[in-house]
Amino acid sequence: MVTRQLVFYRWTSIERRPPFVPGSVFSNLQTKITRDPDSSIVENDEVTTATMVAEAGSPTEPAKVQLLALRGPDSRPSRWKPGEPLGPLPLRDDQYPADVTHVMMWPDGIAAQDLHANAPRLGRLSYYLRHQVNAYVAFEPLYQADMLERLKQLRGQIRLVELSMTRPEYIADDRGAFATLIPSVYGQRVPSVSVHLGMGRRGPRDRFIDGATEEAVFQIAEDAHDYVDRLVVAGRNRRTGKTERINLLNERLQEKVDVAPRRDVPALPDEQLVFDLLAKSYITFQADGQFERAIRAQATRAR
Amino acid sequence: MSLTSWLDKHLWAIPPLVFLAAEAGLLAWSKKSHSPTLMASTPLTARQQVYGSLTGSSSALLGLALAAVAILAAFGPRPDPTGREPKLAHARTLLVGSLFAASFFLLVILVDATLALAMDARSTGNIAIVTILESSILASVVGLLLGGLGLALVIKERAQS
Repeated sequence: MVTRQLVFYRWTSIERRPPFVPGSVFSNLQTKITRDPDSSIVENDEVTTATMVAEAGSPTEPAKVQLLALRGPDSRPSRWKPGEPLGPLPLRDDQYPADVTHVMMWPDGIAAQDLHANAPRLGRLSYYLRHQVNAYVAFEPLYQADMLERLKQLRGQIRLVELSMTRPEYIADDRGAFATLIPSVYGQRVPSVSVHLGMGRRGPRDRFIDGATEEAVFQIAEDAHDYVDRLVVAGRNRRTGKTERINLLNERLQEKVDVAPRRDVPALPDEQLVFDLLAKSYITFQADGQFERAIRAQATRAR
Repeated sequence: MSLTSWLDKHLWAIPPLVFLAAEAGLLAWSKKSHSPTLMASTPLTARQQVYGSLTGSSSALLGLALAAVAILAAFGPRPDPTGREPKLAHARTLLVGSLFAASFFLLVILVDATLALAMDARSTGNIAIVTILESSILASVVGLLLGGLGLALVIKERAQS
């Protein structure tokens, strides 16, 4: 079985841009890709992305899309066997190793994807649609309803923040002489950030992180959720007086599922099963009223 | 793209830019001071000795720069499954550009100093000859330093792989 996390978002149109209509956008995209399959790839200096539209959707039906993070000839992994040196993967230049995530977008503003370690995030789908069909959409993660209450209890009494981001795939390829030679001799510097803010275990127990820093942390949760690998806040709960830790990334509206793998590619889940599970989770969350209660990322900020 | 990033991708442009900046600076200084500056102010005999020395040293350095180009050219692309080699080969080509630009200014020094030995026979130095010589010295030194530093990194990278 292949384990996946089904994560839910709210999608919105962007101000001063034409309204985003999933059925129409994905229908246009499907037509464009059918006419010229090579045009399904969007490549920039940093990443290569493609999509396959399974169902374009309609005003009542969700759109179903496979979003692919591709690795071009310059960034593909190598092949290795014990006792043998590294070798190239036997792929042609027009073939790509691909990490896939399945995305569904419902007309009521809910979107979901099956998330795993190498899955492209939905920010990448926004970028892709902007470049392919000039359609603008933003995705915001949805959080469990009780998270805001728990965060409110910590507000003003946060003693620890842990945040990390690592993005090895964002190393620029087009570099100059010294920017190539120095890392090749002294080691590659991968773009990464790891921040640990704390008041110290031996310090006074009533000392807390200041308001501006606290606000910046919540801003990251809102604006940079696609890039953060870890975002934990800990502080004293005003009501109970006890220390509480909240991992913001674990508080999303999500569900862990096991999916039967494809027979020909054991690492990939069966796509139809994933779409079925996404639809099933959507119906369950909707029936429970979770989407109405769920908190959008902006709610975490005090304004 | 930042200026340093652009210069890193166009190393050949650094010596000419240094030359132009130095030439402009020296001409402005000379005009402002209303009297000979730097080499132009030195006595004729000392200047002639410097010209003679420069012809010898510039031709020696020209040989050194072209030898460095030959060494870099000898480092052909290796079979490399990680895909790094094409980028390293491109970096080596950029270094060759810097060394060729430095070689050009060494050639300018050689020709200019040789002409100066014959033509610059007054008590104060010819402003055109002297400023071109001084700017070319600065440009070639910068180009050689960059090329030399790059060559050292290439050799170290080769030794590690």
